[in-house]
Amino acid sequence: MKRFALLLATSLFLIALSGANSHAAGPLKIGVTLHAYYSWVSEIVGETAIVEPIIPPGSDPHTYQPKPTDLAKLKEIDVLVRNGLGHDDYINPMLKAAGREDMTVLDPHKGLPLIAVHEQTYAFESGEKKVAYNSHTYISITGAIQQINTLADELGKLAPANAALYKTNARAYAKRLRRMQADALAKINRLDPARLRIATVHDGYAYLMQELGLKIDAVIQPRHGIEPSPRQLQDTIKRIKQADVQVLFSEMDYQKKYVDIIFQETGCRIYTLTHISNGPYVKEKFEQDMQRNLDTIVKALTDARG
Amino acid sequence: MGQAEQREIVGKQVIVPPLEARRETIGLLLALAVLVALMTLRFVLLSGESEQQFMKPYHRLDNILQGGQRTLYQAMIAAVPEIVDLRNREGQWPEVELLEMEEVPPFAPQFLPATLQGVVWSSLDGGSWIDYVAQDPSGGETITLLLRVIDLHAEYHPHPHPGIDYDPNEQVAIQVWMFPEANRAYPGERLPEAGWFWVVRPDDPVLTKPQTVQTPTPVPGGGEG
Repeated sequence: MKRFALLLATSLFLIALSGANSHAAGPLKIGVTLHAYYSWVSEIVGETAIVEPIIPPGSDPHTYQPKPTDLAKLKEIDVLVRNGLGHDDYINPMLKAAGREDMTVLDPHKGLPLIAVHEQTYAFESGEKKVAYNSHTYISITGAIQQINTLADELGKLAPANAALYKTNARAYAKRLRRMQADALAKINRLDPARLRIATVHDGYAYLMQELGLKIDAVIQPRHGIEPSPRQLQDTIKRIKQADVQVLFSEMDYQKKYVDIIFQETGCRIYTLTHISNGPYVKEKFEQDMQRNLDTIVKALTDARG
Repeated sequence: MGQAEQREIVGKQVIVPPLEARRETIGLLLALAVLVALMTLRFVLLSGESEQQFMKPYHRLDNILQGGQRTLYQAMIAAVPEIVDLRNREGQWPEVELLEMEEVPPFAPQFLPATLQGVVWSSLDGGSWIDYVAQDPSGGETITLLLRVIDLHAEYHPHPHPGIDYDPNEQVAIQVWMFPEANRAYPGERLPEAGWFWVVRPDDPVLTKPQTVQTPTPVPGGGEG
């Protein structure tokens, strides 16, 4: 009995000790605000760190209202990967509320050439002088690779013992992504896309289209959550007709009624792209969703060629 | 309250001091002066925070690049980690042929849109830096772009030097330069004197941080940078 009590006390002491040191000695806990970042960071760190999404799957990062459980999660995290360009602004008050304003925060877009929103002539933003940058830097391949390399470097600084592994993993991941891009470009380049006029339902695809050499002639809903008014919709239809747009890229959460109206009025073909913000957080999500987007773009351009 | 007390209050004389116009005018002027001072202070503070305050005549913001130029520009910057890896592995800056063989865009044309696949690359090894020049003999582009990668740990840096405090954790500095004419010949080290422009992001530290560190070895021939 005495031996058992001694064993129990020793075990409890060791558990308490390991609990006290777990934050410092355990694997790096990396919080992420977007699905794409979950995939990227998981690919980079492999089994050496824990990757934790801050908001639950199925939540819209544009309109997310934090819950107490999210704050508790933030307290356990060592480093946070966030967009930093307005796509996940909910995180800043959360950091403050959790008392973690001192947390190491990584903005993957460091050094990335950004697309200024004001440069594009959106139907509903005429006259708007405010300069902002397109926050959808993660819906891309070349841009994604640059950000993945940046994250590998920054995470390597936080975990020097794993820095070489992170770099190797990032390069291998980049090669796979580039292969996807090359396969899609091989098909697109045969279709003479320069003669096509393309529109999207919001500006989330500007980086990807730029990499594929495709020009966006009109954007229907410049930002999430802003539904076009009847007058704006009328203006869009007019612009699509004027620009002779043949392909419209919609997205999964865009209201079908607007897409239908536009199709009825213009005869423009409509295809659905993914914003990489739905479904469970899994390592493969970014590759799967981007492959789907590339396949959809190739199909749309092939169909438009007739 | 008794009648006698009421009579006393009614009969109390209240003396209202006459208006002193001078005192009020001084007060008003003081308030205005404080307001002007606050506005000036705010203007000074805001202008101090604004971007591009360290812009040089040879800097151009990257929004001047359009369409395919932006695609190329983005791919050039994204290629740098692999250029550095290859240099670390091979002991010298990688030549264009090696980058193409290693499938590094934009040197490998299969990763580019059709309109950019005619771009021809050449490299010029400066020892502590390397320049990659993109020329388009097909005439598809109206400008010439140049990627310069500089070893920050080397003793000598080309003119103009990166111009910001060197982060000891960074191995290289990346510069993209453009000449507003297609197929411009390589001008050598001193790009600004040859009319080339350094393309910078609006949030580039070169534009937002004052330079306090000079090159370890002064640039031969002097010049600012």
